[in-house]
Amino acid sequence: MALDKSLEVRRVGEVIESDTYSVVAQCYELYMAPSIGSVITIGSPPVYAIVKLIKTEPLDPSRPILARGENADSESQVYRDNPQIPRLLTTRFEGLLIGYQEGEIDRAYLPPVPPIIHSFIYTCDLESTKRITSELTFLRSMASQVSVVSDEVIAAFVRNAAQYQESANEYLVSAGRVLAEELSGDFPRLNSILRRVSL
Amino acid sequence: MTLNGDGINRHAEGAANEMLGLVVGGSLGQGLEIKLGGGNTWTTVEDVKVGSFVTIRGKKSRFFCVVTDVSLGGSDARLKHAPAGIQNPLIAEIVSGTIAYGTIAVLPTLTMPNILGDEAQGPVTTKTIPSHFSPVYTATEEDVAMVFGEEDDRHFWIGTPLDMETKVCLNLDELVKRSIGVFGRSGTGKTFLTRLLLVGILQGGQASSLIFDMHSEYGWSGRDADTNTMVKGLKQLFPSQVSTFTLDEEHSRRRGSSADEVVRIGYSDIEPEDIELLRETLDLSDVAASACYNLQREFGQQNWMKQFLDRQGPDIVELASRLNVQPQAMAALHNRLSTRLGRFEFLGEKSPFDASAKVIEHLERGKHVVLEFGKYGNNLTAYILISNLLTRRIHNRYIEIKDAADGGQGRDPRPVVIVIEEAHKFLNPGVASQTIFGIIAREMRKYNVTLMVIDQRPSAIDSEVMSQIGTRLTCSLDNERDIDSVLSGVSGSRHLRGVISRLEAKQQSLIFGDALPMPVVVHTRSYDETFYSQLEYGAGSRRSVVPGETSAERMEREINELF
Repeated sequence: MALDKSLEVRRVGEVIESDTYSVVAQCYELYMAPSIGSVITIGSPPVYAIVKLIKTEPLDPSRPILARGENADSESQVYRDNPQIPRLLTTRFEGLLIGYQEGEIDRAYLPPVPPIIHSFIYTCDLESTKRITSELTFLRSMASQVSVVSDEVIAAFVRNAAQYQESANEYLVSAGRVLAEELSGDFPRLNSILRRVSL
Repeated sequence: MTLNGDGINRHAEGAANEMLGLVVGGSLGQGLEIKLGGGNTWTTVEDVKVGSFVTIRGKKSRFFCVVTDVSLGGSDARLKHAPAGIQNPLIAEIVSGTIAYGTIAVLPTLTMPNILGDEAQGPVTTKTIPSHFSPVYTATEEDVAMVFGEEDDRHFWIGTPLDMETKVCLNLDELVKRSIGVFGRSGTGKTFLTRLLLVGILQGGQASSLIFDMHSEYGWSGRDADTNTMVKGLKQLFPSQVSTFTLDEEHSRRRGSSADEVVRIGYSDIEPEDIELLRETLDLSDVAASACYNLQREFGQQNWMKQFLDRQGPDIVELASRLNVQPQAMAALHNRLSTRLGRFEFLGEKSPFDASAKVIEHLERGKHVVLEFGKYGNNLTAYILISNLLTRRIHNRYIEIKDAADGGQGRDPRPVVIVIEEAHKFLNPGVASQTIFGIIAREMRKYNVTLMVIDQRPSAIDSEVMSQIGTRLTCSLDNERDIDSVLSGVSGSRHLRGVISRLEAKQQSLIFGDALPMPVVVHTRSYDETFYSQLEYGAGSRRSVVPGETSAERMEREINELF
C-alpha cells in the first residue's frame, strides 16, 4: 500500500447514515474513498473516525450491474466505452467513531450524539494524523470494541499510523503493548493482528 | 529529625532507582505477588534473584521485602500450547511483559521510615501490606544499610547481601542473649563462620566465650582444607584476650602454640551423670550406666571411681551383689571405664589443680577460653566427657554468682557463650533432658550462660532445644529433615526452605533470628589477611569493654591482662 506522506485535508464526502458507533458516508467521486484504517474527521467540531469498510455499488439497488468487458482490451476501455457507468455507481464507506474534539481537547470516546446527516467528511493532514494516532487511547478504544472492528482494520490503523511517527518501530511496540493489554485473554487474536502489523 | 533538603534528595534518589513491577496480589502471611514490568522499563525475570531485596512504595509507608520465588506467568493459557508468532521479533517483544510476564513472590518483613536517614523511625516489623499496584523497586544500598545497621561496638560486620556491597551487621547484644546455632553440611564453612562470630563476640566484649575446640581449629592456627593455607586462630589475633587450655600439651607444642594451662581431671571430678551421657559412645546398657549412682552412694563422690577401678575380677562380682546390680552389667561398666577412660592421659587419680575453677577464673576476668583437645580431637568420649564435666561446674558456679547478685551481693556474672561441636551428641532427644547442655539451652539464659551449637545434623537435636536457639546461621543443607529442623518455629519458613537449599557451598549462609531484623542470605566475610588487617585497624578505636564495669575495675583488669 503506497502511502502518501504529504497528507493534506481533503473533503471526500458526506454522512448519509449515522448511529452511535459509526457513520456511512458517500464519496463525492467514484473510488475516491480514504484508505482503510485511515483517520477521518466528520463535521465541526470534528468527530474522529477510522475507515473500516469501503464499498462501491449501484446507486439504484434494483438495477444490478452487468459485466461489460468481454470484448474490451483493458478495464479502462470498459469505462471509456460505457461513459454512463460512473453515473450509475457510487462509492460508500463506513467510519468507526473513535472520539471527538471538545474545545481544544481530544476525547478518546464516543461523541454524546452521532454526527448529523450531510456532515462533511475530511481526510486528516499530517499534523492531526500524528496527533491522533500517537495518542494510543484511541487505539485502545478501538481494540475494546472487539465485536465491531475486524482485526484487519486495527492492523491497518497501526500500520498506517506507524508511517507518520518519528520511530515506526517504537510505535509498533508500544501500540502492540496496548493491544496486548486489551486482548490479554485472547492470544490468538492478538497474534493475528500483530502478524498483520509486522509484515 | 526535621525534613531537611538532604533527606528529600536522598529520598528522590531512591525513587529514581529502577522500578521492577507492581503489586498484584498476596497476603501478609503468604507473601506478595509482584508482576514484573508495568513502568517504562520492562524487567525480565532474569534480572531478579531469590534472596535479593526490594522495597515497595505503598500509599503511607515503604515496605522492605525479600524475594522468595521467581516464576513465569501468562494471561492466556493458550500461549503455552500454541506459542506461534513468537519467532517474529516484534511479536516476541510485545508479548513478553504483557501477555507472557514474570512474577516474583516477596515476603514483606519490615516497614521503613518514609524519609531515609530519619533515625527516629527505624525499620519495624511489618504488620500490614501495601495496596494493589504499589510500585516495587530494587532496594538501594542505603535501604539495606538502614536495615542491617552499621558496624560499631555493638554491631559486627558478618558479610554482605548477595550482589551488594552493603554490610550486614549482627546485633551482638541480641546475639549473645540467647543461644546461637551454626548449621551446614560438612565442608560448607561452619568453622569459618564460627571463627567470624567468635571474633565478633570478642571484639564487642558483650560476653566471654568458652570454646570446646574439638579439632584445635580456633585457638592457634588452623588449616583451611580448600586452599590448604594456614589461617590465624583467636589467640594469634587477640593474644591478650584469649587463653588457651589444652588436654594434650605435646600436641600444642608440636603446633608451635604454647597453651596457657594444661587441663588435668581427677577421678573425683567425674560424676555418674557424666558416665550416663557417655552411655552411647561407651556402648553401655541402661543398667550398667545407672550402676554408677549405686557406686557413688556406696563410696561417696570423692572416691567412687577410684575405688571401683581398683577392684578386680571377683571383687566386682561381690560388689555387684552387695549393691544389687547385675554382675554382668557391673563387669561391663568396669571394663569400659578402665579400658576407654583409662587411656586418657589427662585423667588421673588426682588432678594438680581444679581445671574448672581455672576456666571460670579466666572467664570472669573477661578472657575467652579455648580448650584444645589435641590428639583427643577424634575421640568423642573425651570430648563429651570433658565438655560436659567442665560445663556442669561452670553452670553451678554461675547459678551461685547470679543468685548472690540477685540477693544484692556482687555483680551479675559476665555473660558466657559456650561453643560445642557435634552438638547433636549432647542435645539429641534421648539425652537433652538430662545433660547440662540441654538445661543450659532451655533455661540458662537467666544465668547469663548461652550456647553456640555447631552441627551438621540439626534434625538430630531435640526440638525443644532448637526452639530456644535465638539466632541461627545456616550454610547449605540438603537433607529435608535438617532443613525442617533449622526452620522450625520460624514464621515464613516455607519461603526460606527454597533459599536454604539453593545456598552455595562456600561462603554463603542464611542468617535469621534475634540478631538481625529479618532473614538474610549473606556472602560471609573472608577470613584472611584482609580480615586480619581490618581487625588491627579497628583495634585502636575499639577496646574490650566489660559492660557494667567502672573505670577503676577496668584499669585493674587491664593491668591483670598485661601481667
